[in-house]
Amino acid sequence: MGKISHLECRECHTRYPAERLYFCPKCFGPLDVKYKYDEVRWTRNFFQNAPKNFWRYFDLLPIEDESKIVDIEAGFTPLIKATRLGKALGLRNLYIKNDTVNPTFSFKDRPAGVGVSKALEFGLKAVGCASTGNLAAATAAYAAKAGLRCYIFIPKGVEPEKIGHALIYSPTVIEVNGSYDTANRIAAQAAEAYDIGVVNINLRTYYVEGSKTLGFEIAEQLGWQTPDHIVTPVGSGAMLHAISKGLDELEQIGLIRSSKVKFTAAQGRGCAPIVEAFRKGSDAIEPVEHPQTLAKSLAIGEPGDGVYVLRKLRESGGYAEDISDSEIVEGIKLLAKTEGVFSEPAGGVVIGALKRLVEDGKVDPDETIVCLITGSGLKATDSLTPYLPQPLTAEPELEQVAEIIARR
Amino acid sequence: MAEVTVTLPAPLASALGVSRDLKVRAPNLRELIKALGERYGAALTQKLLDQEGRLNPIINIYVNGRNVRFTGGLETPLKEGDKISILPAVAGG
Repeated sequence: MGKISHLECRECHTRYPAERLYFCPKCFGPLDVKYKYDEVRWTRNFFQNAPKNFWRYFDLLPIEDESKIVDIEAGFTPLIKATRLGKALGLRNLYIKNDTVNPTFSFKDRPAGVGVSKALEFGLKAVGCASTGNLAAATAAYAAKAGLRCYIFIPKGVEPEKIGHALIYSPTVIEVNGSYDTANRIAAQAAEAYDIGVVNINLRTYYVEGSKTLGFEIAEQLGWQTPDHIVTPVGSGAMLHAISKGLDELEQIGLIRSSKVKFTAAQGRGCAPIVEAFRKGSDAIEPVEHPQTLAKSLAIGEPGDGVYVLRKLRESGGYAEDISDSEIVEGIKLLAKTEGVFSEPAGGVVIGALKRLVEDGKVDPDETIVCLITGSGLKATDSLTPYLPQPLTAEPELEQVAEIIARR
Repeated sequence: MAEVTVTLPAPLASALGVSRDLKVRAPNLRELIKALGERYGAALTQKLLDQEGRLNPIINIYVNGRNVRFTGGLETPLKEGDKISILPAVAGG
């Protein structure tokens, strides 16, 4: 008998056995994995000798057979007390969850690890993903480790660093002539036609479970407590929803007292359908056909979990902020120069949103706030270069260097 | 009236006990959904439309690869040979 109790439709609550289903055939709703929570024996001491990666939470991850785990040592990333950034913004309890240090330099190593492991457990021979860039490298790395064929569908306009990074693991990369949502549609059709385990589509039910380990880690690293407020970048919304599910599970098994956390969703202006709906007070998301933002990893015009993010923001008393390209760059620079963390544009969106919350008086200086920095800046240097100064030049003579130092 | 091909996702086709590719005649998307309901049962229509008769927000319908939310929604006209895909709204991650 396994640890998964069943899959449950988020809309109509129909239950299904834990099979290869990625939506509810009754109503099209997404499916959530439910576990036998009363059999989970987690205590604070339980984790003392656990692996220092996200598989430490194996008991609440949807892989039944431990031998199917594909592990590249992702997760259990630092939660940094951001004192200098906090001081710059007037916040006393600010933390950065630094997921840039994962093996493929983004949080996608968490869900991709679970998705590819589940593909192995289902006996699939090929995996893949539709990606704005980060998931491409993550899926390809896990496929390489597992020895599975891998098909990556990317839209036009992905940062060259991200394409190169994915290619190094030798997957088949298909650049689809269109937006992310077009690449996603083709990947969904290919998944069914060729029996490919496309991790974020037909393995999505299992795949998203990896992202909830961000919530587990934040709670564990704060001494099994939740922060008051989590500021997170949002593309499809799957990560925010998964983190919230993870915290609810910790409450259910009694490891934390309350899973109540205020969530703020941050999107790039030019592709902010969730922020727009939040501001209008609408329950429906108007898709964006042609996203235009520096935060390409968030450029998802038809966010799959958008309606669930809206519900969570409202229920938690949180906010939604859209951040312009120049604010994104300022956010990246501010984070780098105060905390030594180099984020991709999605992190600039988060810091920009936090700055806005402070300016608008929406946060208390003493709140415990966690900002999620989910991908490394090295994945997007090309798009940042135009905003950076040129290095100063000097002949190899001390007088010239001295002149420069005297000026600065 | 235009004959079009509608492709359903495999788990849905299997739950309904129908082929994944269906040939249907309809002048626009609204009539197409009506025709599907008449042929395969009201349960299918109820999946595609919400209670107010609008497109269900958790699915995406594409006509020749273009999301109908950008082409006039239920009023999207159909022409002979169009390929219609119905997919759950799963994107990103």
